[in-house]
Amino acid sequence: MRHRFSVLHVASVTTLFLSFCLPRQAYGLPSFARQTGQKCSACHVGGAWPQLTPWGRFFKLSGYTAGKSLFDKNKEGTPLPVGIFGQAGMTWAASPNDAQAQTVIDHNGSPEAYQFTGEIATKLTNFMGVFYEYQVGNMFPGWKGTSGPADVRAVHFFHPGGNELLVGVDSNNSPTVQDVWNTVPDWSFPFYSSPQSLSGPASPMIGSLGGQSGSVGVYALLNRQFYVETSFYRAATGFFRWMSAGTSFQAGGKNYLDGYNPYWRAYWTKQRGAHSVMVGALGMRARVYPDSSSPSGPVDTFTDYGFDTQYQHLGSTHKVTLRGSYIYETRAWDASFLAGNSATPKGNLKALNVSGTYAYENAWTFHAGYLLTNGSNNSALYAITTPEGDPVTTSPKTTGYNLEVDRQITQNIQIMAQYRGFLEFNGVRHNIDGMGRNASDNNTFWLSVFFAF
Amino acid sequence: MKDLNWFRFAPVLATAALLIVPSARAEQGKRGAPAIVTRYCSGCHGVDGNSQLSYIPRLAGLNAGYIERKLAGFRTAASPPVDEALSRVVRIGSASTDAGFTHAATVHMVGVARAVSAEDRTAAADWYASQTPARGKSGKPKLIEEGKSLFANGLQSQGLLACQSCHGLEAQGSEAAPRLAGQNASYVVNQLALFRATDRQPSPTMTAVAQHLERDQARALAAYLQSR
Repeated sequence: MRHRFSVLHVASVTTLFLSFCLPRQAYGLPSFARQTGQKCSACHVGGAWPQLTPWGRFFKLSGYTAGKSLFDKNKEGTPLPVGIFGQAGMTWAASPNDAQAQTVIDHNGSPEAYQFTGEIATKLTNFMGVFYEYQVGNMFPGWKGTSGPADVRAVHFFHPGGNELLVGVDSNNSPTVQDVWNTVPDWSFPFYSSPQSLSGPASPMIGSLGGQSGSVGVYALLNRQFYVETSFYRAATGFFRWMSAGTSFQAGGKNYLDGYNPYWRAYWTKQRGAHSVMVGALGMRARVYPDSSSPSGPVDTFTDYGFDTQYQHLGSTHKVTLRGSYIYETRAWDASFLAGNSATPKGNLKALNVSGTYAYENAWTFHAGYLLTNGSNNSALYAITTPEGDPVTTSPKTTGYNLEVDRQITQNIQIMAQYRGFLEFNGVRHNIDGMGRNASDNNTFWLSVFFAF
Repeated sequence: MKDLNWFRFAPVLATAALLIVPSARAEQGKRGAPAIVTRYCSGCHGVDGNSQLSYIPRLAGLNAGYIERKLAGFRTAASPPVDEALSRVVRIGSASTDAGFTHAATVHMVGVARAVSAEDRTAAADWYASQTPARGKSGKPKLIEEGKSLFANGLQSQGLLACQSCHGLEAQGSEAAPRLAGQNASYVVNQLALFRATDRQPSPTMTAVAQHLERDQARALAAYLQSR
């Protein structure tokens, strides 16, 4: 087979990246700032969204119910529960073209607008709140509008035996978007990435269902220390269709869930002075149709087991956060193997994410992170060959790092400079496309500006 | 890795967590706290008003009238944060650092005081006034001793009034002057710096006092007060 690694291949990788990366990203919520009267830095570490402070985490878990709502009896200064975001920037690649002068990373060094987003985020009643975003994003080429994160909550506080028990009911459109820790797939570092940058060829299913699923779940937080949650996700059709607005399952290439798929989460956290720690675990079993345009017949099953931890120190001037997560996924290709789209009937995938952040006052934020994704070789999913047809790799292994500096000009405007480096891509460091390209040729430098009002 | 039956796994984890919990009975579990405290104030100040964050003030045992007066002051003090941010877009400037975190915290409270109703402000003030202040924290004996002397006697050579003349012999406070016993040290230091650096605080007495107070003296006072 010749030319298996082609522009089409690159485009598919890029599209995959876009499909689960862009929609799942969410931003600081100006309407919540208006609702609570708080600055962004009350909920976001150093004012740099989306990292959450202890108060930000509690605000989310308590159903966004602090502050004013549209329906409060006291209408004094009721805030409009909407906000807008925008992002633009430039991306420079170490080597934007391959050896045959085909474009690997498009629009190199040219200024681009990335997205415009509208949000509705508000306390609805004293026990219920919502946030929802609709994003119009640059898909390179063209623009497309899709549902961003959606999260609706209802909560109640109980006091059994002098304890505080917060119980909530939640519905959302992406596993882990409801979570409050910046260790889970939807909220982990890098928090933002250039849509033009590349990422590896595989990622766990638990982080790949954004804007394609809808859930119902319950959670409980005891004494603000112990948290447990169980949710069930299904394809975002029917009643949940609004959560996947703009997404076409019929066009194929999406993750269409079969029935209701369980998700669970538990963690323990403790705050002492300016220090806080968290140790947690999460998981999901997702049954996914291999072709979203034809959701019937056998399915592939992905079972995720995740572990995460975080340490945070929020001083008055210096703020440090250290994060780690590990996800192990078993993959049963019951449908894809039969169809010849997987070379093996079973496999696995492992994803490690370690990162740290230092924020100075509410002005400068520095991030560094290391990512490793590895798993079973699969010649039907990850094969790269030379132009002569010689095999190069069948591995999904991708390792890399991100270095980032953020500057908050005001709490509404943030400038970001990010360097993304790859140590391995598709299991190899050199000759990743069979034509002499190195993993480091995919490195990118990204400069962007982000506003939120 | 064998494919676990996670349907069993999740309840086991949840049960284990619930069994462990009684050993970690929290200070947060206060029956009767008004919703405004549970969902709002407690995020920084704690349900019982004994914030563990050194730069966040402890509110437990503060005079209710003082808290209400303070909140009323916040409501009229400055622009709420969102409006402030919009004005910054017009005159692009750096994040405010003129008086450290305390100023940022003040801005937070400006927004909060505007976002909650009069009933909620009263409920929060009454709740925190009724809470029992936590025991003070120990510190360096020499520093505490210096602070104690300053608190009791002032500094006559610099015209510094004795703090206890307004805040009470035991630093227990009143409606006019806040309780300072057990107050977090960083908060006290920052607050004094704010009095010294800006005229935004509507307290001519404290502004005058702060002008005469050296940084080391402020630290000594804070250490003494935190130890009470």
